[in-house]
Amino acid sequence: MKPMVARINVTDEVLTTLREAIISGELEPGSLHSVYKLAERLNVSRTPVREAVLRLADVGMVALERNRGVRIKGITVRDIEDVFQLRLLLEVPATAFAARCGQSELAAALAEIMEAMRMAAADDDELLFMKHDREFHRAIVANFGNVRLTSVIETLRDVSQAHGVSTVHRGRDLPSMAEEHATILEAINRGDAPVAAAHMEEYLAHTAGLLVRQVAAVTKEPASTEWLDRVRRCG
Amino acid sequence: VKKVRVEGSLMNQVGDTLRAAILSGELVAGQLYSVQDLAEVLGVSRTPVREALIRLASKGMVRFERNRGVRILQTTSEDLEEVFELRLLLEVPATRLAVARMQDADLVELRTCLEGMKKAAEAGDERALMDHDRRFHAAILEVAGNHRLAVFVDSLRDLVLTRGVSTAGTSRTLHDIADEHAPILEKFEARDADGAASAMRRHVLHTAQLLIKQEFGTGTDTFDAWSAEAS
Repeated sequence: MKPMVARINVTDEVLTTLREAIISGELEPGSLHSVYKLAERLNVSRTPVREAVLRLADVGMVALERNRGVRIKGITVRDIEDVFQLRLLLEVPATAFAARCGQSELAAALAEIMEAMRMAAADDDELLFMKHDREFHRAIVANFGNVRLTSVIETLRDVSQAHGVSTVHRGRDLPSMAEEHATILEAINRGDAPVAAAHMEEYLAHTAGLLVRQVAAVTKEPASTEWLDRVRRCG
Repeated sequence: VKKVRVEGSLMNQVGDTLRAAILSGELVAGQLYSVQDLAEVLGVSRTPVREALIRLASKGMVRFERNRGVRILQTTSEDLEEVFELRLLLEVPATRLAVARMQDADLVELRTCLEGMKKAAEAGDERALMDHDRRFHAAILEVAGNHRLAVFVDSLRDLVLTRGVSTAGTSRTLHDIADEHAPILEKFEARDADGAASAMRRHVLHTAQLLIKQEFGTGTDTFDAWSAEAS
């Protein structure tokens, strides 16, 4: 069984590399690649590439086309809708929980991330900012203490982050995004669960609305955000 | 585990077969299996077996162990807590959302599922009851309009079944399970969004509490807190 376990570790590495290449746009949406060529480029055998590609297909980042290869999938308005509906359903109660039952470690971790976010915003470093943004949300979700919840949120973020979809410089700038997070953090620190939850909901809905318009402009789908109001009424 | 015929997507067929074997207990929770042995039993090469297992591992149903093979994972009380906590977080608001979007055809589907559950209970057919139960919940999530949500909750249900656990015939009868769904359907028919959501909450919470008590002999603070919040 040894070779297989070794291959599985390589699969994880290949998976990370491919995911990053899709997110950064190095592998362009719509482009077609053969497993053989990808393996050559990464200097590994075809098996781990095939295995990694299967897992990317599971989260909808690529599609396998019979006898042709791997199609890098573009993101649709529908993807944004699905992902943000789930994020709203899960992250809003997790934020309320953080305000009600957050430990001092959470407050300290969030304060540190907040500081790093502001610095990245001041330097106009979008990639670094997005990394801290992700850490901020992850810390709140992880505090809920449900490992499956944390991992499903990670997967959802991969989907929306794929293809470099980001709202930065398209409707809002980094410093204003940092301040939106600061209002969430302040409410958590005050132990004000309803306000913390409301700010998180506002932030996610704002982000979703901007992303929908941006993706719709590319895919020519209708940029309807009526679903957002519906989801927000049901939370 | 029966032999798999070589056609269509072999990996998907192998995956379905292995998943069914885990759910039925034919592949025993806690036991180790080698890829080689599984491939031989299924009459296929190792590649599709390995690929199918990687997918099951990412769902949390099996775990690869260095140099030894693959272990069928046992569901722990923490697993059950996590799964039901997520189901409450997702299915309750999704039910509220579904009421507004429910078409007549969707109501017919829900009624069919409930009838199916009642007939299965009458016949003492636990498996058929579970299938209808699953379809009932999936139909509501699909109406809520989020396919990812429906798929995710379905995989959570797999995890519970992996342990072969069910309250059927142990903590409650098959009839009890079927009947618990009736109030949910009634509220849907009355287009009562809040009523449907709280009926769903009561049902999922009740299942969680019975299952954890039955399997581990304990209550849990988590669900006591959920109950307190609901009342």
